[in-house]
Amino acid sequence: MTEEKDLYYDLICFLATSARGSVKEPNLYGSFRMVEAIERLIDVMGKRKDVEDFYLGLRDEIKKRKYSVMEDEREFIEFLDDIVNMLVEKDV
Amino acid sequence: MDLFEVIKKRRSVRSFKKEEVSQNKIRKLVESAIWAPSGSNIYAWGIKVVRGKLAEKIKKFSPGLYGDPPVLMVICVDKKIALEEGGEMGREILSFMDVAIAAQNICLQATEIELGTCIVRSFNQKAVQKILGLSEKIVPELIVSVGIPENFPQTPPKKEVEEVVEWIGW
Repeated sequence: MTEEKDLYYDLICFLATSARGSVKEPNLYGSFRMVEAIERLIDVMGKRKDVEDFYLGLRDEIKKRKYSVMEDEREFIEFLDDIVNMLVEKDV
Repeated sequence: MDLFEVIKKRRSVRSFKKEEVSQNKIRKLVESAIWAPSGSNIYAWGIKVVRGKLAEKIKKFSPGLYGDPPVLMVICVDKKIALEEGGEMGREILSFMDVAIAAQNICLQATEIELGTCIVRSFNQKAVQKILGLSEKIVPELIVSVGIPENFPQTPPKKEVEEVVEWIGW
């Protein structure tokens, strides 16, 4: 339980400080922090119970491509589109 | 390594091994920072070298800090000294530049001794101030994460000389 509480605390700290930081950071960093929040949320889900392969794949994609925000804006936006597409194509 | 080689080898490392860094190596990084220039020779900055529990707590409030580095070098400006000795310009401009130059020296020295670093500004200054028990006049401006690199990022695209220079009077 303590570990689980810590995981939520970490995620909430990340979200709160990202929200505060986004006031002054470059615009795209807001998107960057949000996709990273998805990655972290999937990590938390994984500690609680089995996570569908789909979400693990989504997390891997984020891990692999998120830093494009610092190098290539167009590539980063394509990556965001791909993330949304992955979610649209998921059977729910 | 010659200097240009070190400059070109330095990367913003965001993945570290779970290994400690010796205090001697950190001391060398601090010494390198001390040798950085400072506007009007004021040196209004100081470095908190943090590891362990407090470092872990700082990481929670630093969205831009990646890779779980074992050591955080928190470079702080004493705003009172910056103002008293450097005036408005000292407090509002030069002290920031001084911190940046010191951070670069740290990163280059680290590269030379096979350590990885990343200069981070995306952290909550007030939270870090509180975690470290700093007074209001001591403001953390940059964090340099330090550790043994797990992997080195690829070289990002760099501009050509002619893209950034305008030769004047040559």
